[in-house]
Amino acid sequence: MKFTLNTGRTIWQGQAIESGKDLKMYVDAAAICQMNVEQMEKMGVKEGENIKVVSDFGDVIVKVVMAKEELPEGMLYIPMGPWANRVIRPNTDSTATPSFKNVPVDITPTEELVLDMPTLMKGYGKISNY
Amino acid sequence: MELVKNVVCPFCGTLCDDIICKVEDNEIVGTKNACRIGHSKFVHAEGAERYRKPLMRKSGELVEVSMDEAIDKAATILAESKRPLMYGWSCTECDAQAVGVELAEEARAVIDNTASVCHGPSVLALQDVGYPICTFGEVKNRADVVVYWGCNPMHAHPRHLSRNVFGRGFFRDRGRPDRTLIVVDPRKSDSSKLADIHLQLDFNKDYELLDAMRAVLLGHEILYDEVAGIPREKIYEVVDALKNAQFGILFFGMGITHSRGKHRNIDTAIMLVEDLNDSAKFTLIPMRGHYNVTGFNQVCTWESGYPYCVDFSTGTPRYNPGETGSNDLLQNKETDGMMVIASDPGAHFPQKALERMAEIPVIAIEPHRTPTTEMADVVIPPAIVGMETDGTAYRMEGVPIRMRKVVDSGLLPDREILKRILKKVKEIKAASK
Repeated sequence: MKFTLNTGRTIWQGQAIESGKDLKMYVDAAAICQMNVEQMEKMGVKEGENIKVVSDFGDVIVKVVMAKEELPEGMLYIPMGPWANRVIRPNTDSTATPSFKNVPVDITPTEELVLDMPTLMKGYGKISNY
Repeated sequence: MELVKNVVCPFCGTLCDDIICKVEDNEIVGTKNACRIGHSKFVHAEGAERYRKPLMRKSGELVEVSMDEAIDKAATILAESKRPLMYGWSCTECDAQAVGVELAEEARAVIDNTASVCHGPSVLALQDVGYPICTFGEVKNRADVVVYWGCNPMHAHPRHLSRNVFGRGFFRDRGRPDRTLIVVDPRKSDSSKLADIHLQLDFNKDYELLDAMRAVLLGHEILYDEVAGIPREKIYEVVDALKNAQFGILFFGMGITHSRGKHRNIDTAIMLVEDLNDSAKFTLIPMRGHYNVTGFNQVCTWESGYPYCVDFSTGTPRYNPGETGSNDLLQNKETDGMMVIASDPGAHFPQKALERMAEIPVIAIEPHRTPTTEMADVVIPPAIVGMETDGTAYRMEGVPIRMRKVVDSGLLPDREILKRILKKVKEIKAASK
């Protein structure tokens, strides 16, 4: 199903980055996707189930949570972080700033697991230079 | 247990300066007055990895090395790269930033800070059309109309509203009841729930709404029933509130800098503030994220003439965001060696930039295990500014505040690490001449 993805700060994401980005707290705060409750009912997904978010620029698995800050129709919200950044639009439009907000995405329910921070970063295939 | 008072919080640009730290055995074990995020920074969380020794990635694994070896390697990477990039700077103090600019000049590097993924578009706009800014003190004591556009301070700057809107001021002695609070956000955000007026505009339509408001202000009629999803009558009502302000303030954030139009949105927002000054007193303050992101823009400007994205490759500073921004350089695969300090691009850069960081040598001057250290070849842990070492930081509207040292970590501060790398880079450059 097609949506527009918004990203940004939540206080829980802020608390998690300062507590430790290697903690489960970070996964719980940032590897999530907020969705309106009506939308969840329409799609038949429950809180805690996983979805795959795909954009023109990448894909990521995140956990669905009910949006406490109601979203406009057709919008999803993933807190800023390495999970959201798998799918946002990297182009800077010659301003030096990538497009972190309002990215068209397609989502499908999935059985695949949400990756923790080190596993997610391993996906980039860091070359050991020494 | 000892109580250390008047500590400055090293998290966000609000730079709260009334924190009380509870210290036991040279460790901060609790705080008073801090928000949820600030508290998390001060108090070590169980299980989180704090680096105490320099590390180097050898055969894929980070292993402990001596400080000398780490400094040597970092200097070699900077000196020998053809297009080195030095990124971050927003979570450290101004003296370290000044050494950083000198190091960038010496290494002929590009130096850039987190503004380039944050309020960079605001910097571009204020260079275009000006910067009618004021201080928090003026907001607290005078503001009767407060606008938060594209920002959600209840989550991102948790004490901002309590200090500037709910707080009582000299001419606003009842605090919140003496002010009109307007929030502009496409979501029903927690900040918008506190507002007198919530303009729930369509996303990516900030420019249209700002322009419509300017048109009304200049005496024109709106010819459509609604603009950006906001009914015409509502726009008239808001413009009326704005232009009758005794002292108005526009706070703006990522909702407007990251949406379509980017710096052009801010151009128009600043012009709206300028237009409003025909009938009201009106000012603006960008909601800066990191506690000293503003400081880097100040330091870099007085050292090089430009606030961020400064390219020293020709020996003289050159400034061209869109070409010399960190994301431009990484995504275009120009950068062949990167130093990250006091920030976490691993967590906050898009996938295409990280693909480049995975290929090239990366130095991280970073106290904790982060997505950036997962991509790093050299990790040098510094003392944390505002907790383990002192220094100056600039609040979001440009007021410098001295950060305090609360406990002793025995680790080198950023400025000392950078001085050692600078000395080594100079030696390598001199030897190759």
